Amino acid sequence: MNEEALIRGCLRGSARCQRLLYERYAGKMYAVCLRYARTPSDAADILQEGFIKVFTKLDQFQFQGSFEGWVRRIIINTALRTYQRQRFEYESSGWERLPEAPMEPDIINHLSEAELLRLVSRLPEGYRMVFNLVAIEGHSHAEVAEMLGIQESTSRSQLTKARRWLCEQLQRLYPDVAVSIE
Amino acid sequence: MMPPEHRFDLLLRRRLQRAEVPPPPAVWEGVERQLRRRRRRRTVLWCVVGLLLMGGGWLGQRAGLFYPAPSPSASENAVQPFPVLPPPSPRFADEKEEGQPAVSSSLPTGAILSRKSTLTATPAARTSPVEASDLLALFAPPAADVSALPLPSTEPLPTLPGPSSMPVLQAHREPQLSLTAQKPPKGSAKNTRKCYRFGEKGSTWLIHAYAGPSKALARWRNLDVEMDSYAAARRRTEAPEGAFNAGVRLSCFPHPNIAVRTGLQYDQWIERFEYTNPDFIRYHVVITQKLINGQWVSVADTVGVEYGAEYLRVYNRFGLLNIPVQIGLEWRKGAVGISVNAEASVNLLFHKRGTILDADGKPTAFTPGAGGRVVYRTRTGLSIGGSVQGFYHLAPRTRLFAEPYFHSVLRPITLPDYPIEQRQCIAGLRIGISQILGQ
Repeated sequence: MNEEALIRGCLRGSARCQRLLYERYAGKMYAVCLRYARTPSDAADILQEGFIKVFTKLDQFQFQGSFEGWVRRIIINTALRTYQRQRFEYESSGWERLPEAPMEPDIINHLSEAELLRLVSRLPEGYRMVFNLVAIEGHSHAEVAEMLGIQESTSRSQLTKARRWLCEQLQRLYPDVAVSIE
Repeated sequence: MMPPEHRFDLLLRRRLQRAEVPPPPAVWEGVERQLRRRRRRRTVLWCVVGLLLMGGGWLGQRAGLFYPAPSPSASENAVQPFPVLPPPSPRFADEKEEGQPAVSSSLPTGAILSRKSTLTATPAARTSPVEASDLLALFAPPAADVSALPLPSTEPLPTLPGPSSMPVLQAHREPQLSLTAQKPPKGSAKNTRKCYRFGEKGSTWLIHAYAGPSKALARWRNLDVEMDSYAAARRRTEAPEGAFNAGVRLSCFPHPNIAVRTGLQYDQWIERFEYTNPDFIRYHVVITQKLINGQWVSVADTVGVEYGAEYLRVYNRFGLLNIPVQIGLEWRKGAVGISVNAEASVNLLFHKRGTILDADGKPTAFTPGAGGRVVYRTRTGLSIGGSVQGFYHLAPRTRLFAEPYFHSVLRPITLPDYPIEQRQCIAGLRIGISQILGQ
């Protein structure tokens, strides 16, 4: 069954189509949730809440653009809302200069996707959100600042810190591979 | 050349955007359960709406809302066993005098009959002779007004030449017509009985008691631009949880359609305050008294450190007492009616208990006397609002009513020195009972 037929079936309220649609995207979306959530159980909660929203708001999908992108946006928004509900952090204002960390990016090829996901999900709370939104989803710092209700400078500094943290972790995992922090 | 951190991001993005991890089976079960529950809730909602519409229709029918207003003649008909027919058309011979059998009369002349009278046909009509004028009358447009017609004549009209076997159609007078009076609208008598006659005995007084759900709507304004992040943090940590209203009210009707009301209303709303500090550190310190150089000295010793997240959830409660003065216009029809009210009230935010985030980013109690920050006023001043009440008379002196309302407190409920100004509006539904006082 093609994607459009599946969506139309879901709009008619067909339980079978809903199941098929879920099966088609659940794996990819769970990987997204794992990146944003603190624990796998939180990721499962976000996935469940996100898919309920997908099915209840399916009539708003215009059949223009990628359906997968639409679902992904809903899942990410759900993850962000969950994060905002749970978090509170003391923000430090101003630009915090951190030393840039030269690194060997090819180190990433040594890790499996599951290992990478685990690594990203272990990033500290604030870093993780910014890193996911900027480095993985490709949002600008201004957009992220608006989404998370933080300052743009905070977003920048948290991304730098996140990269640094990841490099340190990679170095610990593969001390022989060149991950140089000067 | 691309900076290494960008290459790092790019490689990660490529790898992670392709990643797929099978979710636990419990997720789909949860999704399915929630969707089923939503479907069931929607079905129940539609059933409730259907029942309400049916109930409303039934009440409306009982109240006679779906019938035109009865005219004086109609009301006369309603109390008489037989309807009074207008004088017969002169074009019709008097059937009694002619000794003709009863004739069908589902005629266009029905227009000149009373609205509440019906004519029934008898098969004998087919055997009666037809007269020319009668045939003409059958196809003639209905007479506009009975009084415009000439007086009845006793002279028979000329008969139409034709076969002798042709039946003669004749109109007949009231006693021969098989007429049945249509029943008056069901409930109209009851409605008249149920509706209290306002204005008959001077001013009318009513007492109301009500309760219902409501929603508190807060509007925030940041008085200090530097407090933007604090305002955002407060928005993140507070969420409305529920609200209700209850009250008693006295109404006076100096005029049958104008009411002046006053009473006491209590509005309570609840907010959920949630605070998480992910960088929570707790030190376990043991203080011991030691004798050093002949003197007792307190020595602190850190025996442990806990790292974790601090989570705090508090349900903040606010109680607002209103003393309203309302002016309303009321319209009634049978047992039902509607009134539109404008109100001004004096408010006291006499009950406030809970915790909010302080400007330094830490939770602080705002309950008076708790040692925290005093944030809210007690005397919040005037509020203005309005309501629309729909009611139904269960008995001549007893009404059930539902009244959506809205009122907005004019002054901020926060103290002037607090950096975020909070204004409060409350919308809700009053559901209650009214009793008309006096004899």
